[in-house]
Amino acid sequence: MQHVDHLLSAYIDNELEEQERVVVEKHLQDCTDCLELYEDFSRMSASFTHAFETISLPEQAIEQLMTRINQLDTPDSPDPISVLSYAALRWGTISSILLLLAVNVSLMITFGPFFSFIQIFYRLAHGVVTIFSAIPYLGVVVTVTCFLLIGMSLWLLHQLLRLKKVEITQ
Amino acid sequence: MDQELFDLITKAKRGDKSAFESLVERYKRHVYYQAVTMLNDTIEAEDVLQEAFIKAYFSLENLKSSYAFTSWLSRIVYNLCNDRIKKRDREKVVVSEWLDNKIENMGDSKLPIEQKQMQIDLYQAMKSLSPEHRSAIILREVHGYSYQDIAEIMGVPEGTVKSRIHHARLTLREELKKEG
Repeated sequence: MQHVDHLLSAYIDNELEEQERVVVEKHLQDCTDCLELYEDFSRMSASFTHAFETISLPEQAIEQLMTRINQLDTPDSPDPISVLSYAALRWGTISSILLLLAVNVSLMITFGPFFSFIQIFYRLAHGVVTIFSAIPYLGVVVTVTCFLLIGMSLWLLHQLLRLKKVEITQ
Repeated sequence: MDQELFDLITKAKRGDKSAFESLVERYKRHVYYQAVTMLNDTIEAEDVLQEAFIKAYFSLENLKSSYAFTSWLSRIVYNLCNDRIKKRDREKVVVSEWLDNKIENMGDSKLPIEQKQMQIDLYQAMKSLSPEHRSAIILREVHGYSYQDIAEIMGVPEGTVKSRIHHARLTLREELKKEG
């Protein structure tokens, strides 16, 4: 008769395949040695559960831990300085555009359309394009550079988003 | 895993600090039991308890599935304890504090005498196990992990877990028989 002692631990833990489980159960009906081992393992299993229920927790260490967690960086509450900076940037940009439009409209009303910023920018841009279009292969170089810059920007943005502020507390 | 726990883990992953604190409340016992039984030292176990949760807080966003949280946390504890055990081996520090204290303090327990004696014997027998065997049996018997989970936590094949648990049980049985 082949003993199944090597399978008994996995049998108790319900980690055997169906076929092996059947073999073990059949063997336990006939073999007192294996049955004794099985009963000892089962008794030990039951004792384990009770044995570790009596461990008392280190309440002071848990309180310290909670304090440390509270002092750590909070990903869900944005840094007030960042919030201020973003708000300042947004409102600054909007105010600048509105101011520029207001100045442009005043110029158009006072000196006529020719002196408006739009006209000045249009003529400057036209001049720049005319000069640069005379350089050979410039378009290709600019396009490739743009794609490279876009690629690099996206990669840097991805890296930046993965960063997390770490505050070291003692 | 219940829905409430799943929601807590998901919120904590998004950086919700109060959700993480609730997770600490839920898992403090789990983490401490594992650390103290692996290390057999209450002071070191308290350090591991803190380190494990701080580490979990910062790496929670890397956890792929909320369902894997419990075994992921156990793996953190296991690795932290293992580092300390290796350090002890290098420095040849001998620790048998926690189990000894546990055995001494069992006299105050209100359990029936037979059960009390069985627990004293079990704690005594546990001292004869190596850290690997003790970890495997604790993860199975106290935390109720499957062999597959234990293999992932300990970073060893499932077959190794199976043999470690079986070996641990045989050693404990032998020790209990000696004491009995």
